[in-house]
Amino acid sequence: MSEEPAGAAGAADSGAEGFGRLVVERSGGIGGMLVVWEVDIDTSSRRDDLGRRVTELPWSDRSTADPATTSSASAGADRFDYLIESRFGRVRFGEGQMPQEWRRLVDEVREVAEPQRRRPD
Amino acid sequence: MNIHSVVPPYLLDAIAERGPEKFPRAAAAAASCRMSDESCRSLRLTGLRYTPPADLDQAETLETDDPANRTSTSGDAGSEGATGRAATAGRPGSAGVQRLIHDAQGKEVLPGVLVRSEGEDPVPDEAVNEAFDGLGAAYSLFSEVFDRDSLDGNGMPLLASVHYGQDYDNAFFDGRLMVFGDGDAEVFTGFTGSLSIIGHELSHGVISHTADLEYSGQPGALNEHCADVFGALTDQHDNSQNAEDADWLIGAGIFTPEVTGRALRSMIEPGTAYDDDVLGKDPQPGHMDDFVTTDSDNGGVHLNSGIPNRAFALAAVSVGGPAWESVGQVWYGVLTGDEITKQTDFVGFAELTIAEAAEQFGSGSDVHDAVVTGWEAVGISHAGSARGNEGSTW
Repeated sequence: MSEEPAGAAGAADSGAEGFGRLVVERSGGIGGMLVVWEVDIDTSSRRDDLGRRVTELPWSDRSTADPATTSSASAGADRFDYLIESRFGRVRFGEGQMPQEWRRLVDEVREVAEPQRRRPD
Repeated sequence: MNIHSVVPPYLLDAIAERGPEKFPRAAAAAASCRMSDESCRSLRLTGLRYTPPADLDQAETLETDDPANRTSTSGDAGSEGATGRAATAGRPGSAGVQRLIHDAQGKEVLPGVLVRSEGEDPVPDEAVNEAFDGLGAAYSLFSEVFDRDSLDGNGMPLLASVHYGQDYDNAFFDGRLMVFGDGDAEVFTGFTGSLSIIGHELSHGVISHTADLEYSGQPGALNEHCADVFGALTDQHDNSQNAEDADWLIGAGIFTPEVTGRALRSMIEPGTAYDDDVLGKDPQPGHMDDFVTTDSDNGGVHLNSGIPNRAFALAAVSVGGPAWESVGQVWYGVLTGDEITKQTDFVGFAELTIAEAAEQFGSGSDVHDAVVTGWEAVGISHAGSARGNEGSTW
């Protein structure tokens, strides 16, 4: 949050490149519509909070997630599918399987970025 | 009430991971609870007991602990269902439809508070009544037309939750419950307002108890396709509508007046359901030449379903009359038959439907010919399309 003490993100490893862009792509749902939220963390009013989150989240552990992880029929149908990308990695979660820390990141991005509807690749 | 406090997640984890040897049944149930996030634990609070998937063949999936929630076998099941047709199932000894509608109260916690049960009068909340009536209409389709008693064929209760989340633009099936959001009021209205959507979600439950098509790629698109088929048939059956008179829309009326669009998708004309400044143009393909390859949406399951959707709708219109009596019977026969697998693809499904049409209606019958022609129209030809169909025995 912008209310956090100055320099909070300084502890995070933004490196020379900065934190870069953070992209949340939501697909699926009964409508199958693709919605994207994108934020430049370095110029965002929530740079400190978003920067700390993206550096602390376990991107490497989730970088190989694929649609098959959510294909089990027992998980139901028509749920949203989330792809989250940053320069730190790329993760994908079914809506019902998203851990709380990732959910908080998605919620925060949705608060600061306007949704963009796009055609699928 | 803080329902998360009943069975802590860490305890479920411990039981699931370390309990199989000593408590195999509890471990299986705990593992299932974890998969379906909070819903299983919450269901217990409303008096519903979950039976692990391993026992599905022997018992109902969900049973009620509360005698007040048990459906009488006296036949008072119909209430005022949708359409007044949510009556008892055709199976001997069946208790008939048993609907339990919950209110999630704007939270993403399932199932929420039980607000209307079978046999109870309508409530002031219209979304509750729409879900109740819509589930009744879908139940009636499967019961009256296909002699199927609920999702599992054994009369399991129909569980639904409305008012899920905040501005939630979706409806889904979580493996046990049919869940409906209210929409954001800018693009989407409430998802209980469309009978085809309610039928679609209930059909996912039927699919999960039958072919159980894998929810990814072409099998996933077939899963979506079959849910659309029986969602559309729910609408048509409820309106006593012939195929040639139907709009073949899924989610008609779901958009606010601000949106330029008719529905979420058109089965007979995929790609034409909406064309809006904000939403863009409906991306569904209606032919194999336009098959969408993508990692999103579990491999485009809601996109490529347009291809078999068009094949079905064209076949049904070609035959004419009530679609549930002709092509619908063929599709249901395949979905519940022994030949389909979790990995069946478009070509395999087409083969099965053509064989089923020949078996049910005769080779060279109008239904058989219409099914063959329908698949040909979307680029899946028994002469061998460039999709690995060579050697077909159609």
